[in-house]
Amino acid sequence: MRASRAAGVAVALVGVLVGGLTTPAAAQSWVTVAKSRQLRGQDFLDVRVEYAVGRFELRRGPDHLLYRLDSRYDEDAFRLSTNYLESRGRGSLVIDIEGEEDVDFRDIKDYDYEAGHLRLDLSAAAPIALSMKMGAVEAQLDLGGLRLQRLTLETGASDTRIRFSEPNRDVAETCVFKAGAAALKAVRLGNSGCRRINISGGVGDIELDFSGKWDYDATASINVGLGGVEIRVPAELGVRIEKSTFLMSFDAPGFIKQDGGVWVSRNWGTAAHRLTLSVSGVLGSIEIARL
Amino acid sequence: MLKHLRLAVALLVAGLIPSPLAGQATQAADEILQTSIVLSGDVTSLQLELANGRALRIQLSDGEVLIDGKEVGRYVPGGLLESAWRDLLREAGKSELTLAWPGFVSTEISTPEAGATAAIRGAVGPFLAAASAGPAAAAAEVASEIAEAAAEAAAASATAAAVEIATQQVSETSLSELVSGGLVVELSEVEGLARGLSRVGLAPELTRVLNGDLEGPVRIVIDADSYVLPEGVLLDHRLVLVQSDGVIAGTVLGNVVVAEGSLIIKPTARIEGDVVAVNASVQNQGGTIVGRLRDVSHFRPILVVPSASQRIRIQRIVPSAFSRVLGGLGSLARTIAMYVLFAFLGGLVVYLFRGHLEVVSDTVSYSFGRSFLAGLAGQILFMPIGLVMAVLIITAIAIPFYVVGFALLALLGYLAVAHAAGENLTQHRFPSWAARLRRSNSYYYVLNGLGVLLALFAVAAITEMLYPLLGWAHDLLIASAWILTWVASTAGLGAALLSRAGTQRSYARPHQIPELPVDTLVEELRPIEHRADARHRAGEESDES
Repeated sequence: MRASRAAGVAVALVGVLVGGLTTPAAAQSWVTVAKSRQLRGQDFLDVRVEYAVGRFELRRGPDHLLYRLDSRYDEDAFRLSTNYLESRGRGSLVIDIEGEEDVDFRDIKDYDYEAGHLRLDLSAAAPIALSMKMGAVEAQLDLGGLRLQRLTLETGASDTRIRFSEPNRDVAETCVFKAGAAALKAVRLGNSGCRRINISGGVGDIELDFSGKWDYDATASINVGLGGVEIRVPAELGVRIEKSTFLMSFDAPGFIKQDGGVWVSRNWGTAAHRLTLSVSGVLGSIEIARL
Repeated sequence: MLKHLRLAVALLVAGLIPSPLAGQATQAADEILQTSIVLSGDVTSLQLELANGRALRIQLSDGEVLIDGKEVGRYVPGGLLESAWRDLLREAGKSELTLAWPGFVSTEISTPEAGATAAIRGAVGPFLAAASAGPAAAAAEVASEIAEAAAEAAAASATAAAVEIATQQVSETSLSELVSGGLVVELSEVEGLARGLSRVGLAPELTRVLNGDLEGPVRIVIDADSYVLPEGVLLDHRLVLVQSDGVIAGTVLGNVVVAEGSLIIKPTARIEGDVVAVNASVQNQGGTIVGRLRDVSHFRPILVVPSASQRIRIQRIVPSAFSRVLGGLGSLARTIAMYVLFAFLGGLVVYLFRGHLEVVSDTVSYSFGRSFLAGLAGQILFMPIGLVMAVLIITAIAIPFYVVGFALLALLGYLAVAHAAGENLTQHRFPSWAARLRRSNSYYYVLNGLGVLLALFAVAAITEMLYPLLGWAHDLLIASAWILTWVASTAGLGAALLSRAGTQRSYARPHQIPELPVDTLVEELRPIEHRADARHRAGEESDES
């Protein structure tokens, strides 16, 4: 009797706690801001994007425009800041959409954050260094055909899909992907032209497809905390895997195991171009497949 | 002399600022550097930033059509013009203004909006004509439509307003700077302003923007169509352009700040300090910047509203004494409400789980340090454990129970700390055993303990009413109250974890029969017994009588 009464009170307490959080959704004031800038002889563009919540799309735009952005956000909850600086032909574009400090996130229930978006088109005519920080963002990036020289992507609790639909028109020395509690999918990384790829994930699934145009050698470092990593590499590419994992299953069919936690593809000695993968992780699984 | 000077200024400006008239604009048309569009519920605007530093702004707001801040006509909200204008901006945002423009031009808009429509077409069209004459496929078609629109605009009476805007009066801020429209403010020093702004929390932003350089004069240009510092001219001020578009070809002895505007730095320019962009665009065409070119994001602009008499009103929100008292009373009411809520929950817990609560309370009292560390570990591990549960799909279903269980454990811990605090308080407040015995119950402990835990919030609420005098004390009390709350919650949570929600006494004070000071107690209770005997005897005597 006493136990059932206690259970009833516990349920009532949970009801009080949960009920206290379910306040009505706040009104939203949506604003659309679009900006575009003509290409006028700029020989470099440094792009930095910070985006808190919403959907983010990035792709190649018309060559005569240096950049074009189209954003939609709730001006009661977020602030947009865009700065463009140019000196001696080198441009710097900073786009920042962050939450207002006084936003009452207790009203988060029913808040339509996904209705906000940021679309960014970049010119393929100017070399680009791209740095992006995402919060709770659903991101779709097609970086194909750009003149990408450097790439950094940091995500929080986001779902990020990166695609290099066309080969990079420049050489990217480093490409860094840092995923927090997030899903990250990168497709046709071979087109990225990245000589050094660094991928780290906290919690979540990572899917890496290294297909594309390989006319160079590259190294990739993949570090995962918790979660699964699925890697696909083209058959013609020579691949060497250096594994350093703890409580992680590892499955690499078709690879030859060597000493010291090293696996190599059968064509490692003969392939025209090579990819060295350094994989480390704590808990989860790693699957590597040949395409 | 003055006439010559004005003429020279007018000629110079005529060379620097292109008129939006169709004939003259052709040359400047391909010099659009940036297009900015804003679409919100009640305001729509288009801004074209030109290569020469000038900008063209068209805004539809509150039934007024404004070109560079001047009203050129009216529109019917929700009417044809607004609809076509919104379509234009929406399409231009997705693609390009040049491609979207023919749709706007071809829309037939009748009176009373025809004048405003013609003014917009006349102002924007010429800038797009040459731009579209380049690589665009439909160049000829677009150009002809634009030319038609320009002709229409020329015929419309509203064009006069556009011409007036283009040739608006040029003012001189000094003998050599040129400012078109807007407002120029000169401050001998910023430090005083910074002190004033610090009260509303804006000083850090101002300092950040000016790069900590608060000494010396500053010139602020607000809402100007153009600001020009010609070649060879020396400005011994720092320069702040707010919602203005500027060109610097001369020398500035200090920082230059551009907030929500644009700046072009010509090859002849020299800027001795930094150039700071705040939601703005800056193009250095080869000038010398001794400092750095940098950007500052998310600056909260000072709300400067130029009135008709061109005076500045700086909106500062300083709470009145009455609102402070109200705020303090509100805080006090919230604290009392929290007390009542926790008292109610505490009463329930004592009634239903007194044994568990006492064990947790004893654990806090007996092993406070251990409890605090355990609570700290619990707080740190809460998220990682939750994430692990989320990853391992089988346990994901238990996450709601995990969260609710954790919350209930924290609540039990907090109430247990209140219980322990109340118990200790009772022992110290009432050294007399009789008095202590009368108050030896958990309800009393919890109510008193909650009073102790929330007392700092209540005192802080009182000091909030006297904030100008006791602001420091209020801040100190609030900080202390939160620290106390966190420490109590952490230790309570730890004690609840260590005692398995009050089911194990491993870290609690062992059960022991208190060594009652019998003699003292008897002495204290004797007067009470005497009084009871006296009453009893008096009762018997009255019965006998």
